[in-house]
Amino acid sequence: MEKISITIDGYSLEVDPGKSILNAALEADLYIPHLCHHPDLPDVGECRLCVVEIEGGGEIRTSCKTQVEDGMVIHTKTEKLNAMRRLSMELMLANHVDDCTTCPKYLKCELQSLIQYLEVSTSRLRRTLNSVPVNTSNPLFVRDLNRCVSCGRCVRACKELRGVDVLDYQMTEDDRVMVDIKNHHSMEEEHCRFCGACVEVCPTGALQDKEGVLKPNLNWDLELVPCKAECPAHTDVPRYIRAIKEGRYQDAIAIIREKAPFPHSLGYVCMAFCESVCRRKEINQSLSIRELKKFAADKDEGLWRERANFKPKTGKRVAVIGSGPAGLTAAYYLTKLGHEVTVFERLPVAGGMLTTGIPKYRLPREAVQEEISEIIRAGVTILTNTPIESLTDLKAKGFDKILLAVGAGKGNRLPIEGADYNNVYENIDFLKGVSLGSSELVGDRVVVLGGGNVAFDCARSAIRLGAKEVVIACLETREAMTASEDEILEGLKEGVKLLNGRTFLRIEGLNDKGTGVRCQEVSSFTFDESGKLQLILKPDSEHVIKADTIIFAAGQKPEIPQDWDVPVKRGNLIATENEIKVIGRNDLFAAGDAVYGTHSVIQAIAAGRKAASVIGQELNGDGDIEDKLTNDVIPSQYLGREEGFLEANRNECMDDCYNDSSACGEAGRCLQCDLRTQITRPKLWIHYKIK
Amino acid sequence: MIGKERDRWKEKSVDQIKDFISNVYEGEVKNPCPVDRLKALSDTLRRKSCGECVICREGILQLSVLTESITLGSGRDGDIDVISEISEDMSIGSACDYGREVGRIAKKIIDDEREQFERHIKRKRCDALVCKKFITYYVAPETCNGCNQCLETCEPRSIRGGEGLIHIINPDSCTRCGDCVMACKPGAILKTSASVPNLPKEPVPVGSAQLDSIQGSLMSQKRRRRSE
Repeated sequence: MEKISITIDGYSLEVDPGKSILNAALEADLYIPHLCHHPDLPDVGECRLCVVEIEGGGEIRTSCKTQVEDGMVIHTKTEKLNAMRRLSMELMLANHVDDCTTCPKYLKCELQSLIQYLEVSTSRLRRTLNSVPVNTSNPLFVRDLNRCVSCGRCVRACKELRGVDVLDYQMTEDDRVMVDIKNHHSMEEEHCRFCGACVEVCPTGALQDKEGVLKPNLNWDLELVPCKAECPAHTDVPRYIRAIKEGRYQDAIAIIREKAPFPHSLGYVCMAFCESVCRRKEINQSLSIRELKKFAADKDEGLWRERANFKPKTGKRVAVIGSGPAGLTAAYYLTKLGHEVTVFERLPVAGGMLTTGIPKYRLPREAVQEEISEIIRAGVTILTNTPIESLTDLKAKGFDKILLAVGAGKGNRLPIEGADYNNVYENIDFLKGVSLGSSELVGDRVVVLGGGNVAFDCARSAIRLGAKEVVIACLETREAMTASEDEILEGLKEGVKLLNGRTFLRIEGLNDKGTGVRCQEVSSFTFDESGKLQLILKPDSEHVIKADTIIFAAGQKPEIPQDWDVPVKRGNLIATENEIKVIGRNDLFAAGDAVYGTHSVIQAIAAGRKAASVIGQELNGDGDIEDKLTNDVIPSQYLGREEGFLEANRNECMDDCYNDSSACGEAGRCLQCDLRTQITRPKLWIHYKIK
Repeated sequence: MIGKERDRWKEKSVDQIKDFISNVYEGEVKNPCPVDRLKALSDTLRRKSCGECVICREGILQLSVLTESITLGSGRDGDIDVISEISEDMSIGSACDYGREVGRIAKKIIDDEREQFERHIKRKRCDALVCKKFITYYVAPETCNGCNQCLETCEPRSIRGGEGLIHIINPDSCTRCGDCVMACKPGAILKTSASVPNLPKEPVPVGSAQLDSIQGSLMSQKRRRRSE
């Protein structure tokens, strides 16, 4: 299209026809004050701040609503125009709370920036503010109409951008016009989708996110999308949920795989931090994100492989010690960076906690094996049954860097009498034994000491091995147990007995065999200033829980061979710089539970990614491990009205997994918080070259 | 609660808009006080603004609040300039003809009657005797027939007197409702925006008030000014 020539304030511009004067000016870095204009919304010309004069026209026009014409000579800052702008601004401010400093939008406010630019105060006008209570009656937003200037951006965002049409100009009882929910209803009654577009486009403090819903984050895109921010690997949750909803299952699995090489395992056992911050839970229940991930992983046809980015071979060699999720993730991405990676595993199977810690009733071994095979297919060598005695020897075999991803593989045994009887196990050893198929681990009566998820893993495994009576005894009350509620309920359903508020005095026994745990009841406990446990015991409450098998489930710590000469800190954790470089060593790195203590699979994966990236940089690469495994599908900004959207309850996925229709239904509950990140953030006057 | 319907002038023709506004204007054209006229007009017209453009929504509201404040004696220096500026900007800068037409009317009133506005603001006078804050009701002693009708209709009980006595209105509690004026058959109750003539201090028998002696003995000439 041929360009046309216009002149704005003496600057000659060549612009595309059909553009508004305002857009032509702003694109040329020439500021014209504006407030109701938003780059993503249709212009309406309501704030009257963008007024301009066109030579020969005589009339004053709003530049957002006037199209450029060839030869136009436009003035934007005459005395008259400035006066008109100031008056419009004064009129808005007369009807606006006049205390900026108490506003959450203070210093982030477009209106405030305009006040500064136009240098206005309202002293010559009468206050017209019609005070109304701040409305917090909906689950996610604060609506303070005392700070609203009726620019109508939210109305247009809701109606034109989203097609939900919840907001409009409404008459008050005193015949004043203000922006409100249609028919003065609640947002729920008007089927708000809680997408946040209205909040995003609001130039003042009138519409805000409720405090605590979003965690401050320097990365705005993460701040607005809590599920993605909370995931240690920053998995793009809304993007894959949307792909599932739209039936693009191969896209969904590819998006998950962009951040984690264990999607199927995560679908079974991820701690789903995403769900705990899901904004949907403020409305009714969080989205069932983990189940949807499992659903997508089940559908994986491997199409993403063609897009996986493998960099040219570098000839550098990396040794990874430990084949858990952290080690294998690091190995996978280091291989993709072109390095030759060998993983050393002391056990006969690879997978770490995925194969020898988490019981298989929770995480089917086929799912893990499939994912490990995928990593081997990518070029990683895994040597099982290969303990590393000496790091020096390993280094001497020609490895440029060594990553310690040994996990926290040593169970804690409480220092009580009888703790070393033959039939007393540590959680990790017990679970490893179960996983590797050792027989005769349990007798008829099993007592597990501890109240976390691992205690339940032990107890429920014992039931599956044929134990007739399984007891979990722990210090905490039922409410204070660290095990997840799901685990507790499942355990109880399977017949696990809970004994809360117990302290363990000793293990009674005969010959080499424990026969029971002598306990006392605890009415309360605290930790003193030095972190030492202080118990208040119930008098005369000593008793013995009879047992044929006793399992300590009192936490784990890393097992670091002395000969490695690796610096350790409290809890036998490897001492590192930035949770990655082993202190004092430039060829040695550490990642996973061995660095920060027992955590989650997804945390280990995130740590493995970080390790790969850092080691990649140390090996003179860019360390860029990001994958783009699917085409970008630009999501529709349009949501439309959907009755019943807010009422839809979480589908708990009773029959093992979703089918296509239930997955689509559950994915449809997503509020799509990420759509808000697509909305352009308007520039303020300060950012323009010519102001 | 279902909101009231808004008028959508953008969808209407210039003629429809002008007709509507001139109808409202006609209703007020006989109002002899230009400040009160503009107040009444802007109060009616602001309620009909579609409310989408700032200058019309906030401008007419500001005119309404400003003129009301002037009629209540709280006018300030600079108010006239503000009214003038708002009217002018409305007449040239409103998004549709509704705001422009309201602006033109307001501008004409403020331009034509600038002096009356000034008298309201600076002198606290309403020459048309419309703005209640600036007027005082009193009983003309020579006309009062002592019928006591005014006293009986006065809700705030601001009138003293009795059968056969010249009644006296207490200006401090008088609400300027005008009920007594309607009740007074001989038309003895008058209002003024300037000074009140000399009046008896206490109700005296009808006929006993002699203007000369009253003037000399009871009250001296005093200009009453109400600025509170």
